[in-house]
Amino acid sequence: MTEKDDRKLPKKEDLGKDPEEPAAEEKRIHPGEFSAARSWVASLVIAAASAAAIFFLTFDVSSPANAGWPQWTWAAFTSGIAFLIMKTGRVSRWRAVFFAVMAWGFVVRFKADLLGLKGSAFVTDAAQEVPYCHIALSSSILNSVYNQYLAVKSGAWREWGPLSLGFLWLAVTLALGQAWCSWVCWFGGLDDGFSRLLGKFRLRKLSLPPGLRDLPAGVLIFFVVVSMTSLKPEFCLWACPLKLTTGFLDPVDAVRKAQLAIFATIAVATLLLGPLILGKRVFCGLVCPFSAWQSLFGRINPFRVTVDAGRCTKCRACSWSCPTFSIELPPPSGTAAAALPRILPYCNRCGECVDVCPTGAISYTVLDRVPARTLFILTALALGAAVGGLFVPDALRMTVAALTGGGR
Amino acid sequence: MALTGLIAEGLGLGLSTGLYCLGACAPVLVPYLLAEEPRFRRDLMVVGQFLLGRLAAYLLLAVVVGLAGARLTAMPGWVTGPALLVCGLVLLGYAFMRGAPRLDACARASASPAVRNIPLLMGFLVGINLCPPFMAGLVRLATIGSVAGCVAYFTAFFAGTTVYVLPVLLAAPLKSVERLRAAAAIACGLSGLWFAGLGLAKLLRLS
Repeated sequence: MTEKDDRKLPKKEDLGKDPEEPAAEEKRIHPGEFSAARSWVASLVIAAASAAAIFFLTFDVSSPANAGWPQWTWAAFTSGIAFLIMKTGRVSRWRAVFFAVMAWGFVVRFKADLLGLKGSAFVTDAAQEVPYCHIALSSSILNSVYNQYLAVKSGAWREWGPLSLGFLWLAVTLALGQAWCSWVCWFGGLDDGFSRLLGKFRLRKLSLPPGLRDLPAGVLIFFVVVSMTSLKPEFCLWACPLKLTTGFLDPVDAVRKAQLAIFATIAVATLLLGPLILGKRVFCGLVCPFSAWQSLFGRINPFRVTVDAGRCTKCRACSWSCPTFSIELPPPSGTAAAALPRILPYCNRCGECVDVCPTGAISYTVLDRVPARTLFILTALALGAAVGGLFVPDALRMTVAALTGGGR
Repeated sequence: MALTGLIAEGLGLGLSTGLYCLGACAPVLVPYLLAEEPRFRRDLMVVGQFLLGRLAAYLLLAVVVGLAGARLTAMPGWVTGPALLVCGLVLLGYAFMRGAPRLDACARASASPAVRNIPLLMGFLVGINLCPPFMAGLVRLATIGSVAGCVAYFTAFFAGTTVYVLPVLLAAPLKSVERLRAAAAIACGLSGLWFAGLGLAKLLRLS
């Protein structure tokens, strides 16, 4: 569905330019951004701060000499991303590069492990039922709670894994909230990457039929209940297309073949074709139950994306650019404040709207009050780099070894 | 066996296996309950109708098995596929009605008393499904040999399992969030697809 463009007519000299590309002379400073951040020195200082954070979060501080070139490369790469974000003022463009590299690293590392250990892209029954991740945990949370109850009751302390994961999730949610989905999730880089491949050739100005935005919440409710019924992670078994990037049980019988066919279809539609054609993150925005989960619990995190009513011109660029359909535009009636774009709880702080807003009216804040752009970007990047540090350096090493014929 | 003994036995079976019954009922009942308007009286009505439907299914089977008695050599497994399929289609229809309220047909349907009584039908369709505790109950029924005994046994079994179904009412306060009700309507549609798929698979003997 397209909406009528009611923006003011562009100036003659601006015709032919990408409307989402800010003019070169526009050196707007967003609230919360260091006023000198666009300078080389300030950007380098922030990149160095980012590198220090990554160093402490990902390296073995007691013996940093043990870190090899892949770890140093990863740290240099992420601090380079911090520098580029600060120097150019474009958050989402450089975040997307970082995010896509994370996704690539995860797939390479996981698949290489699978092929190396099992000699097959499929997992056997002996390994485990399905690979477990944050998306599977959220969509079968009652099963995990029940298993944890059994573990606690039986005194099987070694079975406390999910509880530790729970604390890890709580820490990450306190630090980043919904931003996990755009800065840390190692799957999100896939549809984010595909949604950018076609650039200007993708569909623009797409708005969603009402009600469809709540699809991930519906998916979450349904799979939580049905997983509890069967005591199996049903989303993981039947619907999650991301298993194509990790591993799935051998499709030895009709049920397994049906499952493989269903989630492969979902993968083609929501990870590949949807993002390519629509330029949107279709899986993250319309399917992933973890995004709904995080939109519910992410509110405990203080970072927000805030629209400044005084600077907003209601041009709608933010809503059209949002890759996860998370900015709602009320009908153009009523008071000026009521017509402001509304940031939905599903917003995962990717920064696309911050980048495209022609007046710099959208910014990162703490609780919609205190500007916090630089603080947010540093936090998100450091945490993303820390998680990526678990697999991207290995993926780098494997790739270089494969290219140079050195094996694994 | 004395009637009180049968009642105690049925209640014991229901109380010990009721969690499984919650597993069978929750995917149907929870999304529907969450999708309905946020009024506690309506919530009570939905759960009450659902339980009444289940009770009707139990009593029907109790009477049938009581009459058949020892002549019953095979459990009526053939009912499961069609029951699941119809249950799935009803849920799908409900989700469509909620998703397209501007359509004339949907607006008319949502106001009709038949639609308000959907939980009764769903309770009945879920009730005649052969889950393991229900199968255990049926096997025992076949040995009782009297209609009164069978009805008493299954009524007590129903009472025992109901203890586990009632806590779904605790989810009702969540409905104050409008978006959650919209999401629950979507979950109803997914649940409908799921049950219709299960029903079809059973009909085609794929599972």
